[in-house]
Amino acid sequence: MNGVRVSGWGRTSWAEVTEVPVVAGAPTAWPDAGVPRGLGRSYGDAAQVDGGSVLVPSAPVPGPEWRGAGTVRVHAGTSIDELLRWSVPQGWFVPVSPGTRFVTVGGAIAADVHGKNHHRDGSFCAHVRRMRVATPGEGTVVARPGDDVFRATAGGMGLTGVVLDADVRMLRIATSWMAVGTRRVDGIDDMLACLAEADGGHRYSVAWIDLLARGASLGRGVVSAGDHAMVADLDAKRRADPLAYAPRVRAGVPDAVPGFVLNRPVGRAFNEAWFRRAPRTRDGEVVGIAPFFHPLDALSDWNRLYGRRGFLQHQFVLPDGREGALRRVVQRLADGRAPAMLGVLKRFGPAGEGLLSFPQSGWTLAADLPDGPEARALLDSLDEIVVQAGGRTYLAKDARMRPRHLPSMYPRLAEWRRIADRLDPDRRLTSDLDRRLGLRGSPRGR
Amino acid sequence: MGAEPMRVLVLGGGSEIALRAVALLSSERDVRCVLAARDAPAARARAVELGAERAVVGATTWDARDADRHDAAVAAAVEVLGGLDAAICAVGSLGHASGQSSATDVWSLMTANAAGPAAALASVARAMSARGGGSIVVLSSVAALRPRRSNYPYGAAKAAIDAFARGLGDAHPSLRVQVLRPGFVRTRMTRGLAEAPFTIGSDRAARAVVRALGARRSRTWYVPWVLRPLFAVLCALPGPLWRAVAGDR
Repeated sequence: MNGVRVSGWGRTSWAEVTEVPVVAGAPTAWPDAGVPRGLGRSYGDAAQVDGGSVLVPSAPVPGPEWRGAGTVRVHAGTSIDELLRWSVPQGWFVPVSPGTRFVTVGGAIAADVHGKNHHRDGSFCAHVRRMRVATPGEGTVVARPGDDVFRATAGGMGLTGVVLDADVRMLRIATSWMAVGTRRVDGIDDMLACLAEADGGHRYSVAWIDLLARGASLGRGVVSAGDHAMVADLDAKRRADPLAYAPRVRAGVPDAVPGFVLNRPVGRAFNEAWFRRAPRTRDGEVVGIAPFFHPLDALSDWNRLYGRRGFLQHQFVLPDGREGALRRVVQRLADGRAPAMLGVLKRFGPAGEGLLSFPQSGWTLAADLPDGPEARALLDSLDEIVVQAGGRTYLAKDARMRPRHLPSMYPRLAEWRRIADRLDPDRRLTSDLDRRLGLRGSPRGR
Repeated sequence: MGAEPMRVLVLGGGSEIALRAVALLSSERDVRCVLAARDAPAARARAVELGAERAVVGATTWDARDADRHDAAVAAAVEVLGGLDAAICAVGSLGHASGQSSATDVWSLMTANAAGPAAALASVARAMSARGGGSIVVLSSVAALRPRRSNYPYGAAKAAIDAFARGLGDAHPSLRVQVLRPGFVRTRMTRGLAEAPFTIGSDRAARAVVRALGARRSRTWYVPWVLRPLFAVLCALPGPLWRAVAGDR
């Protein structure tokens, strides 16, 4: 089989891999070094292994089917996009939707993805009632919440096996629309207060923060909170078919955007315009699912906007009560030479059971930076703040973290390693992320 | 469908009985409903699950134990609905109320089941009286009639809200206040508990709510009706006999 060049969504590091389709059930022969790969939306190097194999879902992927009221059995290769196109017209929504719908269910489990409802509903795996995982060491295992295999695979970055399918508990909706309230806030203290308040009354909440604003405007942004609209929220035209759902994706970005397109002045102008455009306060606006949950999906291949050098998407979480550290980070991003464009700020609810799962109670911030030495140095300095404050960075987005931070960020690492070694004793499952950070640990007996 | 929509406030907007009642009502006539609930987003999702999605126009966060929020929540509902024709008070929880309950447990239970809803009903009554009247259904319980060892704090709270609601109806001639005393109703709240004789489903309790909403004058209702003569007898039993019958040994 021919080698394929792949990268994460941030296009910062590339790997030469062999694609191995996983056909109906467990792989017949496990490669010496391989990792599952879905739609390649992990930003860093989690779903690639240079010189090794990626285990990909073999097309066609079987469709979802109901297993009792509100629970769907879905093949791991199914994308959230496909799942929504099937479920929304029936009046059901995915329990957790990340910022893009072009991730597979397998990927959503491996990264234990979160969405704007984490503060009340938790992460994706909190809604998985059962999954089948093909493992090199123990064959195909049925895992349920509370099991070792479940806790290691939820957020396990694909290093415990290949998720084959999952039973996911869905959310009942009356319409395919969102009722959204928006508040413009002038600084970071207002923002934190406003977000915390929005969490009480709304299923979804998030803030967009201008990471280029300094001084008195530091941490200014727009807080949005939403709920699935009821039929009564819709105008007469939409009421005729309240569950209509047909999101469109616009043509993509060419592969040859020069690297200077997204620089600091452009970013500043863009952020200013975008901040001014937002209303100071607005309630009851009705918007579609796609613009609310997946704004970036409107433009395919938007990652190419950063040109050849690619970009670093960085996300971390700080525990409740460490707002001081959060302010320091925002300050440092605003002062930094590497321009971080828009940041996304959100409050997380309690952690789930995934041993390497990212979310934990507190504040999470995500930001994009064009890749380069300044950006990497800046993020290194942020890691120090985050580690000291008892927080962690998100492995599914990481492309550059230093391995020494791993054990303090993920205190349940040792337990995870024990289970991973049981499920894959020969360490056939590995990724560039694993090699870079030493996730699986030093090999036994060596 | 009637020309004017019926404007309904549900206190305890996550209640299965209340939401089924709203669903039923909206199948008969045009209904606009606001849910006041501790967890407003969950109440919205529950409304969709129980078929009330065409009637619900909004949900507001309201915790019965939050002393300062009653007037604001009722005012918000009146504003969204443009008036108020009916209210269903279905707030309450069984809690883990027993003889072993701590002071905070008891306080929380009494506030959530009695003091909070009573305060909210006072607010509703004022809003309705100012607009010429309205109809209120209060979900009480046969547990209000005679305390049982196993759940007397719940029974005591229900007795309080039961008496308050009857008084409210007497005191406000423009209001029609219906006090519903169901027996054991199979809902999410009672899941896992041992069922009592004459257990009914939430759909049957919901039908009773809808019927009560249409009543012309204030009164008390038993669901099912047989509980009225039954409890007349049970309340007259001597203590030891009552405890034996009530399963409190």
